[in-house]
Amino acid sequence: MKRVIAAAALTIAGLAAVLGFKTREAPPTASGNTTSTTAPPTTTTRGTSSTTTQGTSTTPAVAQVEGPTIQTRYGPVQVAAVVSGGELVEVIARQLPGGDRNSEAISAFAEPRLREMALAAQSAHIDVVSGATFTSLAYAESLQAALDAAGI
Amino acid sequence: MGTVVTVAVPEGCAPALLDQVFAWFHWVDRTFSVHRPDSQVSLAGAGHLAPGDAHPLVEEVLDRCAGLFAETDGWFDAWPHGPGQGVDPSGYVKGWSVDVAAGLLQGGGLADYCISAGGDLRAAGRAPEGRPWRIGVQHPLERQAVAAVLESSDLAVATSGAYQRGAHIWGRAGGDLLSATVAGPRLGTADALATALFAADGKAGGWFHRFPGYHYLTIGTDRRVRWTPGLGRYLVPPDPCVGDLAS
Repeated sequence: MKRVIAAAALTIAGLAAVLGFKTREAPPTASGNTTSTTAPPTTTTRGTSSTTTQGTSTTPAVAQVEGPTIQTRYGPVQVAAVVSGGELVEVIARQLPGGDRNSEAISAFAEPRLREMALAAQSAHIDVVSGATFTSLAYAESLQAALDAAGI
Repeated sequence: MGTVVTVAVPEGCAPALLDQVFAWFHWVDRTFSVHRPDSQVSLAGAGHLAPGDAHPLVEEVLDRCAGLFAETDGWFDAWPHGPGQGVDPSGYVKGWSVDVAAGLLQGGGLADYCISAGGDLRAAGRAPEGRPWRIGVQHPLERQAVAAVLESSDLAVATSGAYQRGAHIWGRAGGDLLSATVAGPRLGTADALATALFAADGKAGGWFHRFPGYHYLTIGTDRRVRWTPGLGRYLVPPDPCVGDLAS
């Protein structure tokens, strides 16, 4: 069964952009219904800010805005927002817990059982994910501050 | 609400039906957003909207939020700053709006669909491969991973967690939980219960039993995954062989 995917980014510019990033960061095991980047060619995308989910913006005047460093119990978190044409097009993790931007470093904080569950789940075919993809509240805080600084 | 709504439907679904669904979500955003100073909810929270002047659906939502406050022993609180200090029904509205959208799709004759609003979702019928929907529960520490997988052909699933954005969760600092996931028949209720359960740090107490048909799974700062027996039957594999069983 082929599918039509329709996505609407609701209209709070900053937060819609944050969640647009979120859909781009969907687990690779997710199928097309969570992100247009893995959708079949029949996909149609709708919505006021949906370009933020596409990663294909070619609008000039790209700016990179650094977010503040937020301390968490796992370590410092800092992100940078790449803004183009008033929209968030990319998020760069400057610091994540463990001092490494690789998510593997974050997994070091997970007890083996949770780690094993994650690995087991990755092998299953997932259609959709419940939850958010931010590693921490601090991640969102740093990003939001960067977006505020960028005026979006 | 400031979130992304994704609707998955079989190819051939009438475009007018999807237009109707997205028009609904945009109306909900205009009406209920706490980020828009001119929304009905913002006006009501600021005391600038007299009772009776609000849209009937706004009244309905605020009434339900008041009910959920009582039924969760205060753990779901749309008035986090006290009476007269603004109202934030977001923890219910997002899921409720998805329930209404699901009704629109069903009314249009669709049996197979999945609607996800910022990580809270409702799945019905069959996924593209012809089997029930498989729903991952976000791993709170690894953003590319899921911590559990649920399978169902009719389920609403909502997750609240410390890894989520901004001021989504009120009144809690530290605690024993990384995330709380609630599954059940309606997403509005599941959304509110996940918010309440996380706010209560996973201590559901007696109030959760006031919601028959709803089950939960929590992920603790001790890195353990716990779930209620009712939730276990949705797990893939459907055997509580990993994690701790919540009593």
